[in-house]
Amino acid sequence: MMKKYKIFILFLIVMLNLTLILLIFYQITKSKQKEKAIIQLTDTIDNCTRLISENREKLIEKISQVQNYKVSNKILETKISDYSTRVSSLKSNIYPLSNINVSSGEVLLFRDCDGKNFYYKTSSFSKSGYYTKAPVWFVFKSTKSLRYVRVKVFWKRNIYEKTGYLDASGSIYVTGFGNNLYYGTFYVSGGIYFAKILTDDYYENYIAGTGTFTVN
Amino acid sequence: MKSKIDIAIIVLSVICISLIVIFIFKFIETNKLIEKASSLKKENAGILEELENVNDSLEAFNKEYENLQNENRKSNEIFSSLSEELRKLKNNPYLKSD
Repeated sequence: MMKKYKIFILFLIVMLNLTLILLIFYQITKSKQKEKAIIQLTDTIDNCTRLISENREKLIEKISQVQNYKVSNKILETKISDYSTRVSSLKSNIYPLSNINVSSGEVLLFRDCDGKNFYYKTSSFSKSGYYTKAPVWFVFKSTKSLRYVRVKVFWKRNIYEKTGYLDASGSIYVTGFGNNLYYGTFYVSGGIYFAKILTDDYYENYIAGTGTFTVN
Repeated sequence: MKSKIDIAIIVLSVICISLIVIFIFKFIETNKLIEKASSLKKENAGILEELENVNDSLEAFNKEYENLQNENRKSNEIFSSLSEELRKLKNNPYLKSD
């Protein structure tokens, strides 16, 4: 009886040992898994920390750039405002187009955006036969006295140009264009200027009479 | 005189006690590792959130930067055109002298 009891105890101890061995292996496996997880997490944390550090640097740099742009934009805004004011002021200081009236029915007046060039286009231009001079009158009125006038005569494909100063009597003669003779006469009278251009076309019976005035 | 069974019981009992001790140590060690992993997980979650925040901020600043860049480009264009206009106006022959 005693022997049977001892064998039973022995059996129990063996089973207990086996169970303990299994449990220890389980714990070892579990701890290995956890160690692996810890290593992975540590790596992830390191990477994240590095990324945060890099992104913070980028952020600081970006903030600085944004600040610079804000300052730059502010300066530009001020400059634009200043320039707008100056442009408006200058625009208000320019004689308006209405002050430059075309008083002849034969011409039309145009002005380009910078207000520099004045284009006159004849609405009618008469010419009869060779060597017949066909006068075209360009009339404009200005409240500002003009000293230097450049005259361009457009003649088909060619452009002839003559420059000159208005003299004391207010006349300018434009002469000597090749074999043909063209001249313009300007008369100054109380701020009203008359431009007269006579053309002579040897080869063509008709001239598309377009003239350009540039007043500098 | 002890029998072979007695000796076996004694030896196995000693082994059993040793195994119990080893198990306890391993159990404690594993628990510590579990705790450490849990704390690292929390830390990781916090860092990920921080990273997300930083990325969001970076993205927002990038957008603002792009907007400001566009604004700056437009302003520069306006400024250039105004400069050109101003230059032309200064050269305008019909500018009042006063």
